[in-house]
Amino acid sequence: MKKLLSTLGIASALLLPLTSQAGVIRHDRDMQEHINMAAQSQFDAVGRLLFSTSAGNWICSGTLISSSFVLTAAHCLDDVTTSNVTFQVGGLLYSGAQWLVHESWDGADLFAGNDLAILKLMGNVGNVTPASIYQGNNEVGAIGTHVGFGASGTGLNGATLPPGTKRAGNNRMDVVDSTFLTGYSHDRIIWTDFDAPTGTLPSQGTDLVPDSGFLEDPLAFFGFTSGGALDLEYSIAGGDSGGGFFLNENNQWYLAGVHSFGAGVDASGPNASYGDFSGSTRVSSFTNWISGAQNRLSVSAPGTLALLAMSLLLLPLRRRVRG
Amino acid sequence: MHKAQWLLLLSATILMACSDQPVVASAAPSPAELAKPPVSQVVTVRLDIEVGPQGEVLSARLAAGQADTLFAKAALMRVKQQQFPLRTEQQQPVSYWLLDHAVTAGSAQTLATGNN
Repeated sequence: MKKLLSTLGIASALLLPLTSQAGVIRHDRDMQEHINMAAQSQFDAVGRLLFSTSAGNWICSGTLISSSFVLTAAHCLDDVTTSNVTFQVGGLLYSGAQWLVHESWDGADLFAGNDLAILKLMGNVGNVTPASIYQGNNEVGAIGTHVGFGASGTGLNGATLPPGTKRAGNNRMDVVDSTFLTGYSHDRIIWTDFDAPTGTLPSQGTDLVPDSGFLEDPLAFFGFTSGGALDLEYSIAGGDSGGGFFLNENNQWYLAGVHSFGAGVDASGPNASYGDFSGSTRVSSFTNWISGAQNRLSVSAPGTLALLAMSLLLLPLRRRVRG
Repeated sequence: MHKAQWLLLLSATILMACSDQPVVASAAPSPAELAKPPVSQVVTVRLDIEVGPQGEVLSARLAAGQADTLFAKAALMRVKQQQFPLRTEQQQPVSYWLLDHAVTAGSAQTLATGNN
């Protein structure tokens, strides 16, 4: 079972302290506004995903989509040495039992749009309402809300402070058609850009593209309909992987994207500075896979199949001994 | 060992191998098994670049066969800010063309990060 990785774990529920830090936001906004936004109840399902690999300890984010399943990014859970997976949500810590990485995720091609995984928790989350999966196709143009535990900073210099605090911010869902990339023809990624507020000078930041017009609306520079900086414009950064990109439709909140990657065309690379881009795996393209993966993980609970099969095999043996 | 016991042992062995129970590593992973770093993807685009006598970019265009994509436009934008080596003829600086020259247009990177 190539992609189904399992781990032993002891179910645990520990109260955790909350810390307070910053996030990658506009340089003229107060971080507290983004922390307050993340604390709104519609985003309670977004939790902190911690895990270890042979290279160290890592942080991602994830979104609870049922009482025991978390949707996150494939690259968070695709390493063969992954262990000690925990998910913190609703003030409690849950051990990861099993996870399933999307079969088409190859571990290298970010632009292919298959960066998705499902984690099954040991135990059910009872004090948090799971997020609803978006199944429509009206993402483009919608104002989305990113929620995660990513690194901190402002658009002038990008992510410069450590991750770990839950925060949220807005961005317009600009593009889903990936044909603007050579060699790709799909709609599995929601692209956004990080717009600088009007009047931002390249010289204010570090290694920004030396063009104010570009910084204020990067995707427009490339011919897309995008739009300027929102009041609480925000870019995902390190640690936000797997976090949720939400949209509101008919007064109902939905999980529309799973944070996947950052991209940049300036000298500083994808560091979540003004002018950078980000990609989130488009959830509506994977509704069948998500439900199927939950079924597979539900059926293949550790030991369940083995016990059942052993019982069936031993049945005739028992009869023969009796005879 | 009784035949029934052998059968039981064999069944149990096969089932353990086929079940979803995790395998607990008993030794530290070898260097070859070390986890890979966050996934990075660098995008390069091939351009034809006209370099001026002072090494500045006079003009640039997509090389033959290059699609006019977002990253291609980014590469054109970036290359105009770059300096290239000077060339001389008869000890005089001259302009020249770099044809089918690979330029880094941008990069992408996953956003899992260390928590040490």
